Amino acid sequence: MTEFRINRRDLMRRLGAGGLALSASSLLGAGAVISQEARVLRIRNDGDIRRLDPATRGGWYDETVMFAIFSGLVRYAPGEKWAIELDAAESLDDSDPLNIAFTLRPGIMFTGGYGELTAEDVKFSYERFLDPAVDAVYGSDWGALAEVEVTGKYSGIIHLSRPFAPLFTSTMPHASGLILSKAALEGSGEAVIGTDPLACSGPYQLAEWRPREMIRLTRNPGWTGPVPYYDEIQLLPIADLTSAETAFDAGDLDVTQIAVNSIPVRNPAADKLVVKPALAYTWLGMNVENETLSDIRVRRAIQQAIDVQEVVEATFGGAVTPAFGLVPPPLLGARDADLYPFDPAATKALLAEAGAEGLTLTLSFGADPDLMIAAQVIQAQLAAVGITLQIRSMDSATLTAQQQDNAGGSYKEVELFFTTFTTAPDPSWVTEWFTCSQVGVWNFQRTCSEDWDAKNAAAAEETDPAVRNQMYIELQDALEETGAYVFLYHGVNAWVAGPKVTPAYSADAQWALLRDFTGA
Amino acid sequence: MGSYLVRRFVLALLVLCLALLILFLLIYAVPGDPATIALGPRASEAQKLLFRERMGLDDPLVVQAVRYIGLMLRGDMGTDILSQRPVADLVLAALPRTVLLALVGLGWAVALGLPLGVVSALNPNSWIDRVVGVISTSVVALPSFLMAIYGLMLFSVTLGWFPAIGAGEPGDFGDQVRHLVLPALAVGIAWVGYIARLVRVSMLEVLGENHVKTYRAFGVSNLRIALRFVLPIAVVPVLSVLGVGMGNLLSGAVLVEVVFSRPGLGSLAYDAVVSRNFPVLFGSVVVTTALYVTANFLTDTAIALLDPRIVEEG
Repeated sequence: MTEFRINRRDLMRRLGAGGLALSASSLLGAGAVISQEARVLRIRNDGDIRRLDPATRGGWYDETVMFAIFSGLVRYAPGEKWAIELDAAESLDDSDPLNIAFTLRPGIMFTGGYGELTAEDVKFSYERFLDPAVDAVYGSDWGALAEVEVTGKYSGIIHLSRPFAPLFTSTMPHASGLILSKAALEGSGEAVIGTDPLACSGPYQLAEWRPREMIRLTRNPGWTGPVPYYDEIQLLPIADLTSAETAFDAGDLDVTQIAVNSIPVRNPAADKLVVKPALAYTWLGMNVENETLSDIRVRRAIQQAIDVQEVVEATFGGAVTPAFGLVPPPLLGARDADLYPFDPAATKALLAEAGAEGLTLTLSFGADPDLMIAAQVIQAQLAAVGITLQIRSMDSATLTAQQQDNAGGSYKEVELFFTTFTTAPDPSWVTEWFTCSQVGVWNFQRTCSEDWDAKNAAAAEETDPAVRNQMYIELQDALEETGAYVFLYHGVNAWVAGPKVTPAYSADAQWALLRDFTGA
Repeated sequence: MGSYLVRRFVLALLVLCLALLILFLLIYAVPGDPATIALGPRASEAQKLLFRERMGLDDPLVVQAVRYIGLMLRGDMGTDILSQRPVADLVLAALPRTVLLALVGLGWAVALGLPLGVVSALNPNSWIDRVVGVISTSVVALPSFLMAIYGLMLFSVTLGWFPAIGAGEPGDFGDQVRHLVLPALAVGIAWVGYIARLVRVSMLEVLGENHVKTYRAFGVSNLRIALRFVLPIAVVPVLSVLGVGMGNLLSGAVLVEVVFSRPGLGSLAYDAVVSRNFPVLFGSVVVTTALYVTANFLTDTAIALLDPRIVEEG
């Protein structure tokens, strides 16, 4: 299992290695990859681009493109671990957690004639997250930012108002750390970027966008960093994984993500199958404000009636392993055991004690074939302890609307439900949805504890990895103690690639790191 | 003829208005918050409120309806809540592809269904007629999305004859045709059976009329009678059904476009439903409905031209 325990020493070692690689490839220059015919990569994107703005971006469909056309000070390195490496920065000093000094590589040019990337662009790009006019959806990524001080054309210091542990895990290497052209954005007269990136600072530029059909990236002529292998990348927005896999089999795609249930039927070697643990978490939630489930003994009884191992085995075969918490195992704070594991005898005793024998409950979830199998297994398991489970598979937006119907009160009718969330590679983004302020927003269990919230806030500021690890374990323990959570699985991301492609993915294989793709 | 067409045109407008009203009410009755979907889970409540306010989503239904009709009358379909692009741009980009898909699908249906119907009518109750009958009934029962999936697996994945996804490179006619063959076949296949059966029945009826017997008495060949004198009359009811069929073809195109990842009106509407992108959904449905009504109007006009008795009857 992949470990993600990044510390300062690791970070600087990785930064140094990344910097060396960067410098070496910079020296090679663009001429090193001149080829006789254009190298074109055709790859599935999980959707069409919507907003290529780091502060207001949509989802992975935007980020995959953004990582190719923009640079950050640092970036996620491809591979099995959540490592980061230098990108636009040639050095970065994080020895002081409140003041991070950086120096940019000279000579990175924005497209569109917007000149060289400087420290002023870094200052503009990060401070705009706090600008009310931008109304940054990802504002909390830079919530601890006091200011970016420009100390020279290529140098500056990021000043934080408080320690912020996710800075190097899910802010700076992520899309919130990408650098925009101040001149381009100010010149546009708009506060935010839409689908026109205005000026690109990465190895690729957006050459053509045919909405819902194709996003065509070509080399950025002003890029002076490591030269990417492909001359052109065609991203085809295909939401449905099965359609994408069919297109791959028909030869219309070189690379695509595939569904988990396709893993067993692929040839690992011929299809260059890559399967990595996902930064996702799926759990069965119980609405504590529902009349039937307001008794913790009933909730605990349900917790202990579910054999998660059996559920996961029946749903995914051996492709996925059971979860022991919300935080996915590659991240700091992952647990390795449940407090209240499968125990049908305990369930029966609790139901008798609560006077709740012969219960009938409904399990709701957004239509999904995997969840349907899981629901049927749980239905059988609950039947074994005398609970009748009705399955309600429905449109996920409709279910969410009911769970968020705080004014109308129909949320009270929701009993059991499945939820899957994905996360950035920091545990703070896993736990933030379970606070009191999230009740009825995304916390559909509606568990609320001010002590828990305070501890969760403190964990985001804790910079000692060991202490932080323990804090997140305890936070998950507390959630399990409420009886409202049954942790199911974290899932995997799987990709296949054609014979002429050597792919590169993030550690969870959520993103195809396009600049790192090479030929076979 | 003039007053007949005016009456038909007014009726078409009324149908369009009524359909839009029903659609508007249906779309806004669907649960799901566009702001939550558009901005994602990281958006604060304040940001969602601002978004709803900016997009006019927090106004009463009547206000939204009146505003939307006002915009439509000015040729403005609103703004895509996800990409902030004008809906008209999205719809106009998708429209030609869907119309082309439906028309080529119809072309497939006519090209295969018409000869089958003629052969069947010229050989009534023969083994040929029975075989055509079985084929026709079978394909009528075949859903277009199923044909799309099987066509994809056979002709794209196994045989590699046609591409599996997309609409082809703009400007490359050959590539666009290759991308159109399978989706159009999937859309039109069910209509092969309809047309074959309709043509057969209609031709048999006309073949029994007196003027046909007269042609026979003058020694005109059966094939010439069928093609020159019977088919033009027998095809009138087929045209009438095709007008209605255009609506089915457009609705069939929705799933076919999704299966083939073709960027047309159908897939646009489908994506808009999933993401609760109401302006795009409404824009695409408005145009689809208008297409349907237009097709019916044109059919009525064509029938009136082919058979003036219909105009006289009112």
